[in-house]
Amino acid sequence: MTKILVGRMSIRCLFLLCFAANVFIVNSSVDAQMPDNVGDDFANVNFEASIFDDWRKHILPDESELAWKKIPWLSTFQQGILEGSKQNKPVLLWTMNGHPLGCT
Amino acid sequence: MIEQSKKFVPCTDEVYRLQRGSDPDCVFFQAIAKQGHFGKPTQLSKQGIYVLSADGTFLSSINSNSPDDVLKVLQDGLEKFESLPDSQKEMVDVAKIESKNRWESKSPTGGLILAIYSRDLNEDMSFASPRKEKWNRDTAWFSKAEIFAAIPQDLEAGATFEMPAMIGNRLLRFHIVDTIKGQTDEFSEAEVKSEIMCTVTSASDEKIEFEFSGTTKSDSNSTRNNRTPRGVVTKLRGVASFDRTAERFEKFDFVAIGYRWGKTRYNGRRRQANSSPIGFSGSLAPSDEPTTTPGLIYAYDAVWVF
Repeated sequence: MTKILVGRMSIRCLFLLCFAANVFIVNSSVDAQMPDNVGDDFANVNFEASIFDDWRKHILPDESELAWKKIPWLSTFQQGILEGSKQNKPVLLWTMNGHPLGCT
Repeated sequence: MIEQSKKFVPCTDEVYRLQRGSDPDCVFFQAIAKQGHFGKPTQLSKQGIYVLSADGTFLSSINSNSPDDVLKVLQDGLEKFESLPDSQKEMVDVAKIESKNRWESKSPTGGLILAIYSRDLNEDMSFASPRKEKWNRDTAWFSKAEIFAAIPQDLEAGATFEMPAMIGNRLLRFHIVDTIKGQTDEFSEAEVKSEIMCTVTSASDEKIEFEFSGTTKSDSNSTRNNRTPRGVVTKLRGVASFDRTAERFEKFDFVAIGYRWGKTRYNGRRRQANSSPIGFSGSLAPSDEPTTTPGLIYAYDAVWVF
């Protein structure tokens, strides 16, 4: 019984220590509240209609960033298997958290 | 890599469904992933690159950003494939890879589908500065019925109206979010606020064109699930053209620039939780591209999706 209690106590202490460490690390390493400077910086952002196209071009990927599109990726694993069987080729599957062709 | 890929049938997919789902194609994948780089049961994510034969024979795999390492794995897989008997190169039982439930099947035909790109911006907030390399893409969905209900009727040139909340809120909750370095969480409806005014630039029985501009703010104090308080503020503007006869948008371009701060569990901002500039650009999704789903589809505010 004593061993069980000590064991439970240890687990509880460990849990509390981990929780405290997590809180400490999160709170000490980042300043996650909306930083004071954001309001000022944001107020100074110039976004007139005349520079809409410039920003658009800046944000959109250029040709080199879209080189992956030169590979004719099929958009599902199922399609890949069916085509691999049909073409007698190995299947190359790229699978990620968030569909690689659409989002993260 | 492009040359090497010609020796394969390249395909992509979302790993969460494949690694956890019970559809036949998911079970088929799970049997392969068990033999791969993240095969241990304790390794929950199975993301990465796999080479296999159509009958499900595992050949090689890796999860790496290194082109050289990936090429080695492709070559290894190719050599193993070439040594397989023909009987192991084909899928004879199509039922084994059936997909019963895929979000793509809910793509809103006839509705508004936006392709949205996001990118980290320079500290000087100048479009003339060299571009930062981190960017991502997303897809926003609006059904035809939602759009028709949201766009005011009987508008004339010069009229103004607020950006319909259905459109604005969905963009803010699910798309004007910080996914540039990794997946994130949505904002709740109470956590988003926008002041976007639309001005009709021309109107006829057939078409209405309008410009819009304003500010957006999304912020959350939730620290659940390894989050810190986080947010995104932007100045947004755009132009749109709505075909009243066909009841669909012919054009919907927007750009939003501003700041993001905070982190979520997987969005890659653990060391960058302070604020930094961010930008978004959206437009009609090209019709010749594969159907892609919104990144946060599992939490979407659209009953027709579920």
